[in-house]
Amino acid sequence: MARKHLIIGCGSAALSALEKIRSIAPDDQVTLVTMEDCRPYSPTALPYLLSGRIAEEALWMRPAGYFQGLGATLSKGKEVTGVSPSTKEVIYRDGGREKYDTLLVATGSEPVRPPIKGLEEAGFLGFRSFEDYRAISGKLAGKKRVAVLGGGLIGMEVAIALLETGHQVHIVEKEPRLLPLYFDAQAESLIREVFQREGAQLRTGLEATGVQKENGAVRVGLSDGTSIEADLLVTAVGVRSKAAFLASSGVKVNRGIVVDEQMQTSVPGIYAAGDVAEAPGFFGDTAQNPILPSAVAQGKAAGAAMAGQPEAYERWIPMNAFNFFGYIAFSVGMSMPQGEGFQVITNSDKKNNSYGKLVLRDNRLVGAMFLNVAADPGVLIYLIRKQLDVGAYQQALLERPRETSRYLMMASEKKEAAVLD
Amino acid sequence: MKAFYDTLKIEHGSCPPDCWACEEACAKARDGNVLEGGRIKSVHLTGGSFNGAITCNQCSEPQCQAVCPTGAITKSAETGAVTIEESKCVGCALCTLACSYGGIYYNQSTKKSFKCDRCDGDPKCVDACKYGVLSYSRNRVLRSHLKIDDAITSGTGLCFGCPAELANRLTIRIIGNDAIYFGAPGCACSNFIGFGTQPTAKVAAFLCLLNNTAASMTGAKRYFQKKGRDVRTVAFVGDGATVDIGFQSLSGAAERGENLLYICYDNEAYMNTGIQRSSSTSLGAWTNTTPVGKIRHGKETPGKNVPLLMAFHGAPYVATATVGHLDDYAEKLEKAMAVKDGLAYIHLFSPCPTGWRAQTDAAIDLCKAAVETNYFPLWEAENGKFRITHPVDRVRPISDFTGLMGRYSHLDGEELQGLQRSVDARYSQIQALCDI
Repeated sequence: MARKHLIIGCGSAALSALEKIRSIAPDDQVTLVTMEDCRPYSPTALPYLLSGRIAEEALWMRPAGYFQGLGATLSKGKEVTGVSPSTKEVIYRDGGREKYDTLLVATGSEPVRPPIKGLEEAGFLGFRSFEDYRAISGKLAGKKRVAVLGGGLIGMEVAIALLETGHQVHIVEKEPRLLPLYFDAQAESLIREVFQREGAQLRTGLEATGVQKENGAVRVGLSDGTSIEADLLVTAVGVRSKAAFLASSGVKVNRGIVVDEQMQTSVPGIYAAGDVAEAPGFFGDTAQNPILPSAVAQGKAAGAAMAGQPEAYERWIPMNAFNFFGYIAFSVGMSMPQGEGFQVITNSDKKNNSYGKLVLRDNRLVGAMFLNVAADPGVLIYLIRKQLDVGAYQQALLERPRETSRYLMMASEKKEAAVLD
Repeated sequence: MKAFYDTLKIEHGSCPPDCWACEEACAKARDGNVLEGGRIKSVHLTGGSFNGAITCNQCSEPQCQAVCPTGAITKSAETGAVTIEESKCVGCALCTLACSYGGIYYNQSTKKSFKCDRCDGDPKCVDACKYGVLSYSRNRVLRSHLKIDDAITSGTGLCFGCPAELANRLTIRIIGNDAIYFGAPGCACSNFIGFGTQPTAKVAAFLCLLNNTAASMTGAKRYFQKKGRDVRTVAFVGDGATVDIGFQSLSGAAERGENLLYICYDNEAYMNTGIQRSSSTSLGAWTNTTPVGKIRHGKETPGKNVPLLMAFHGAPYVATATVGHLDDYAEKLEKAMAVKDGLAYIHLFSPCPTGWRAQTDAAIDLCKAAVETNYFPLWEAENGKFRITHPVDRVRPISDFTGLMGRYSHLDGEELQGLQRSVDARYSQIQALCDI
């Protein structure tokens, strides 16, 4: 019997779930509900829209007619404010209700609004949605000086876009290092140098203490007593899950919505996937891993389970790629391990601004970080997943990661094929 | 409809150390410099323990496509190539995280990703490879012949590496489901009758006896004709049912000019009953009834040249084909289907790794060697006009064929010469016919 699947959200996890459901259950009813009023896009692409690297019409993730082609309904501009598992209904802001057989929460995240004195009065600007992009690009006209609060991925990417378009940029980060979650001190110092060369003012280890409006500009007070004057202030100090509407639903929510291997929450029939979900990870921890490839994998797993044909879920591995001014840096797996039992080998070349690092445990690769080195992060992730013994190759893997990782990947693939023979 | 695409094949193991020809040719063709522009990468491990090349697999479910935040990466339904639309690529490099196989790159100067697109079907790396490591199979030609999806369920009773299954599936996909298929006891009949109570064929199929396939087809064809329907009848039967036991009924049908499409897949012996010789078994070949010992040394006479016999029946279309030259086979099937005024006959060479004592992955290589040594020339006769359809520029010695399997391993030099003479004589007959 055809069932009704309701998906809250319209990002990568939601679309991945929709496509999976359709491949299994062509006759089931699928409705997606989004608060936004535009075609589906990924927040990952927004900084590049700001920098002008792509035109606005290139933003949309799927071609026109996509939902119609899949026989799905997209309901725009609707906000879900509650879920009633007992009656299997969602409740909308306007009081309307909608029934579901299975429900997927793929709402993603929204910018944190830090309690900084004067911030709201000065006009809070986050950077997560198309609407945020519109707001910022509208206000940028004729403005030169921009302050970015937060030196995480979003803050840094906004900063790159602004630097590339000729703005003066200050970056304020409360940790001593930029991108502290993704890169170690050595990689960060190289990234820092490049940003400084591109004209960025980096104010790390400092917190914003207050914001004041001044003659059409803003003054941001910092914890060392100094201040920054800017024409525009963008805040990117972190994101939080959009899961408040589940408060009285009985669904277990920590930082994110807790799910199992099939992306099912603590309430049967309700699933979660993407940035909002705390899903089982490869290294045994259940946590959020807010990056697009994880969202796609989780959406797929959720879709399969919702359509009644659960599939093996590939547990997430931390991964990140950061491209800046023609440089590329990435970290995969446990690239900054905590605790004992890890072997860390590094290789750096100041002249070429390059840096490489491998983290091994019992001769198995568990993490890697490379900056400005020809390497294939996807292949390294493959090696981590396969838990291959790379002992004899570890130095080669560090020094010539592209050749060595590809060889190891291929040898492993051939071995698996040989087993089939 | 499910389909298959051209394939860029990399045969690792024969790359010389420090050869970068494929990568350099790619970079040159694709306007990049060698460091960044090569979409295929030569991989040489220090110390020479491995030399090879790696490029995009053009996955059927590309992960790079799945993670692209702007939908810039797509897989063409037409060519199967996975390509990046540059104006949509933001250069986020997420695709390089998603690909496990080293198929996609980040270009630091253009700030975009790039990857192999197989040069629109004419890959320059293949042209540049002098060592036979890279090759390009133009399987796409076959697609234009396909009418339906695979009509045999997965899982068959055939041996490991048997190409008759491949040929059987493809034959039905090309002819389509507007036909009645006739089988006879033999290896491939399990595809038609299924296992136990489980049918495996999703087309109308009828199983004949070994001796009456052509007669049964005649009966069915005429029955439907009487009812006012022109129904295509297709036989897919082995050499035993064709060249030996069923030859009388086949010969009769050809002589009467029955409009049947008759395909004999020839594995040169009664394989499913335990490798007994048929009259198609070649000179010198071992089978269980042409044993190798002190007195006998394999089969003492050459195989019967049944395709030639069928042409001499005056059948309007007769052709030879192999399961290793599928585009050639597909074209011949189309011609056979077009015949309306008599019998069309295709003699399909189908190696039997089990009975020929060959490796389970040898079937296609056996076909290639059979054609290139003139052991099994590819030809067709359209209304009596003979033509070689796959001319061989450099004919290889018969040992290039016999060396691939165990059924000839007992042959000494003189016996091999005898086989060579028999092959040469048969080829000159065909050549003479083509010259008429």
